[in-house]
Amino acid sequence: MSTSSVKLPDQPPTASLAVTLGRLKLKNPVMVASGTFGFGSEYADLVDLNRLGAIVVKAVTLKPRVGNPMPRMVETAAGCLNAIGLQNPGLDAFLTEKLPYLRQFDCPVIVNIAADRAEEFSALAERLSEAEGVAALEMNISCPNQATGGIEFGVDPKMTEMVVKSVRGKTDLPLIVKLSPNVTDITVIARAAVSGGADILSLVNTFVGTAINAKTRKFRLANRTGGLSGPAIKPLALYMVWRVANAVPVPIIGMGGIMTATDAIEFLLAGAGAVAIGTANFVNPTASLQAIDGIREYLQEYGFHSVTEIIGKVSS
Amino acid sequence: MRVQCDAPILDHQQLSDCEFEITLHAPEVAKQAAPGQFAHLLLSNNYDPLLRRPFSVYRVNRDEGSFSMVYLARGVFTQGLRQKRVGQLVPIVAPLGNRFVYEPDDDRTHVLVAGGVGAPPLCFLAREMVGSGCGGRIVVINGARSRSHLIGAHELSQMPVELHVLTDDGSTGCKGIVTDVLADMLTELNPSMATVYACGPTAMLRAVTDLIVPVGIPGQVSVETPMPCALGVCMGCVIKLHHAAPPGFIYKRSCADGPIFAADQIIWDN
Repeated sequence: MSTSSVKLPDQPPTASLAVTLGRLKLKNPVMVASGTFGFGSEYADLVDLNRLGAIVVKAVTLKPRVGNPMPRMVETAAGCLNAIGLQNPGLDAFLTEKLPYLRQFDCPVIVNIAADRAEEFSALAERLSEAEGVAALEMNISCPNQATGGIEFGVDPKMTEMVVKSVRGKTDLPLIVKLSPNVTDITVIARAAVSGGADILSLVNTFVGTAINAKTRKFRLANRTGGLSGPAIKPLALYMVWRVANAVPVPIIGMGGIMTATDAIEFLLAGAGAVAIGTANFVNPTASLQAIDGIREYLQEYGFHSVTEIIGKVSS
Repeated sequence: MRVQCDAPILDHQQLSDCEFEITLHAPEVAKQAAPGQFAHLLLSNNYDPLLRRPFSVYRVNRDEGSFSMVYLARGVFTQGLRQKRVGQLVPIVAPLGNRFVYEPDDDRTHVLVAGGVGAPPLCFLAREMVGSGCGGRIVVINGARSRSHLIGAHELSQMPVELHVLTDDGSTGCKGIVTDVLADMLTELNPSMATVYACGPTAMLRAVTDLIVPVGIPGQVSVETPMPCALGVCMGCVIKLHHAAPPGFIYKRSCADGPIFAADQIIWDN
């Protein structure tokens, strides 16, 4: 699937792919989304990790999580629903077993953190800030808040601002807040996250959905509901990125159904300063590298000198 | 080392009214693939279906640089796969997963229990065992719903193995299920000198496990789960295993930690 392009001597200088998201500097705008790239090592024989704009690791929680019962994932039309239940080895194992491996690469490591209490988010942020080799934190605020009986942090502006503020007070690292799309007006939550101290917003997380087996009359997922990802959600995600980019002053990492370089370019045009490849990594392990190459070719083809020239440049 | 490539179809044969063998040219895969391992195939680039599907390696031809898989054309993916013609490219990631392992030992009894489309990796294993002169007694219990669902029985009948063929409807071999034969054999097996290798539907694997674990016969069971990524990252293919630490179990990835697990480690949930 991977094709190598032959460089011709009379080509114009290569367009710059470097982007700056606040204090986060990336050599290109393509990262891999949390939960779709493990902790990097799983892909290292198929993907040159040094080429990626950044790696966002699978969500890390304070304690290990066993995850949900099976079935956890079901394919739907041009997408898939997942209810993994944040299975991960926990912060200690991440720091001792996963992070040292990732440090060997020339690729910023963004740690996605998840918790069901504000105090746990703070503890994660505090300890990760002391670790060597963490470029930024990404908060998964789509988790249920145990203190409020399980309402997601990210669906309520007050809770969003509160939990972001609590983490902000514990870290000097660039703080990314990953927004849930399962809200009435995502710009309200986006502003709340920025008020709380977010440096960067990433969106969208998965859309809540379900699937039912008509023959057995049962839910297809053991958890009954799951998060929808894949090309099916791209138009919804693109719309939300465009709206948020025009509502807040901070940089945006756009994601949601990006499968190709063209998809990625659309998110950049909508206002994302960088993009993340998610479910596409399952389908095509080198999707992220192909997106990087494709964006460069696009910039050359249309005569842009830098990818920054196309960010937010969609017009009617 | 796993390979991601577009592999040309060298051969595509119909084995019965619903079963097909597809042979792909992929020298790196042919060189490395071992019994129990699988390839992850992509049907199309138009997201219908979106995800890849896993298929066990059936046969490798290292001289030709090819390997084959057998599939049952019953769903959107496999109905689409059967339309592919010789020369067309199939995107693959392979070889994936762990392999069946056996000890070459003249006194050991190897019992290969194959159910339906679970037969290909065990045919591969039997071929390798015989070819490598692993010694010992090799028993293959090959069962399927009917004659047309039986895979590899003819080839196995030509090998120096004790072959038991069963079908649910009696259309070929004995009428019955694989665990009938396994249950009859149990008393004559010395647990320290026997190994069971199983691949097939989950209900069959569970029945095999229920027979061998209580009597202490070690088993290697190749489980069947959906495998969204098969790269070890999505955690959508996990299998529940016994684990000392609380809560007493752990979920392991059938794609990267399996698909073969020790029979006494698996917790079969309802």
